[in-house]
Amino acid sequence: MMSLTKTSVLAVARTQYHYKIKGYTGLFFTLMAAQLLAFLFSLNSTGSSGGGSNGIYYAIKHVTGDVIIFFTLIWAFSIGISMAKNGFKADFTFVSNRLSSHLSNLAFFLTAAIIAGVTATLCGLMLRVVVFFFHSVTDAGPAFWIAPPVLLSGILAAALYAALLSVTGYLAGMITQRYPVFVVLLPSLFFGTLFFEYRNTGQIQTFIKIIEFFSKEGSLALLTLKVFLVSAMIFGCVILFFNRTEVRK
Amino acid sequence: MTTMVSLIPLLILLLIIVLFIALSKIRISFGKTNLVTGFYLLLLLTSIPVYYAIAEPKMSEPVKVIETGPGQYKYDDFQLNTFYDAFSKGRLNQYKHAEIVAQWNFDYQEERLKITAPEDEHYFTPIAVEKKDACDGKLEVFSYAPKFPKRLTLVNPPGIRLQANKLEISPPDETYLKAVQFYHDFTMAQFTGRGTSVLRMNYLLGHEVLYLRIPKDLLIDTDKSTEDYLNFINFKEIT
Repeated sequence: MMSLTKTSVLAVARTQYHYKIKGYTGLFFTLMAAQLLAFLFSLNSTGSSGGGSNGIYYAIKHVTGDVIIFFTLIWAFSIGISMAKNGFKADFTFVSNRLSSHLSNLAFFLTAAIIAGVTATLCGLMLRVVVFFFHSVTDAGPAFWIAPPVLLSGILAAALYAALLSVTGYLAGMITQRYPVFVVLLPSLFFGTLFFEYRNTGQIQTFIKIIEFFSKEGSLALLTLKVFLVSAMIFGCVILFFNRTEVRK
Repeated sequence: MTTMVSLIPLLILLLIIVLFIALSKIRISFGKTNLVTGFYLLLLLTSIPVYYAIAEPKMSEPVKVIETGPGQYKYDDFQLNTFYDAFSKGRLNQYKHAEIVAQWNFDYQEERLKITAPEDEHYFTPIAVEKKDACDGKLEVFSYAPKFPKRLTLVNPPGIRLQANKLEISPPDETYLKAVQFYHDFTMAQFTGRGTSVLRMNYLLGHEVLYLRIPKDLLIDTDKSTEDYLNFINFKEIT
């Protein structure tokens, strides 16, 4: 597309970002639906344990917001794929190129990640309140209390994971967009590798190690750095390998 | 088969992703959803003050979380340790976090007493036996349990029966309890070590101990049912 108006990539990206925030509010509605669904699943507990000793037998329900965050992260991954498939359609309304589209999508993912992190963590808090009253909890345990700094760490960590997964989903979406055969090949490769590894070693170590690279990080600063570096690498790959299509297909 | 079963959660995950992608194609205008979204946000924001009103910042911390490495934790129940320390040293009556949950008193004039459990009804509990300073012909049996503020103690004291020269300790009637335990979300637990990955028991369950105070001149006999659980406090010689 040709235009006589001179403009910078960042200015175009900013315009596209604002457009996407307004145009894709439906995605946030899906986020809310996902969180509420996870909330309902978690109401009856996310796990349980039982046992007994000396004539006393107990059944304890374990309550966390893990399922809510898990659903939120799946949502983040799926919006990455979704934006890779649909996000560019809107971009050609403007004088733009792929770089501005990628940047506006990145800004969209960051915004979505922050919203997802905040709402998922607060939904977990709401779960605690509801379970506390509905189950008439007499002894909630020491982990019932979440200090405000811990809550903030949780929000930030959830947002970081959401950003990482949306960027990963974006890469997966871009690959399948460019090479449709990967729609089948990518999940097959993923599950095939897991299956193969499990059959040979009895564990899915590689997958677990990748998760533990982030989840076992006890420092928020280091987690931020890890997520930032890995996301930058993934997004760098996207810009490098998918920076060519400049017309609407 | 086991491999297939272990992949089921991942297949479900794939299905959820596909579902979300399909849902994301549905265009919903903000005007149609703002009421619902607004209500949802209001609920989330309201839960903050409500939560901080019901949660107590200084909840007792019975278990010490010790970080042994990055993201690795171990737990030390120091409250319980102090209870058993007082028990083994015969100082439970002076220990403020020990509560008498049941007590039995018997007049006993015999020379010997056998501490035992009925066959096939073993009650596994630590038993401390302390000799009194006097030969008063009185046998005192206490069932102690740890009691700490804001920590639930589940107790079910055993049955105690004195028959001839035998003190029989039998299991109590069974009781059942349902409870709820909260854990930090995994996004917080990786910094606090309070997630579900390491399930810890905050309840004090099955920590009843028996404390016997016997006349100075009484001799104690044991058998297989109790000999491993007996702790003689101030005995010069064990029979």
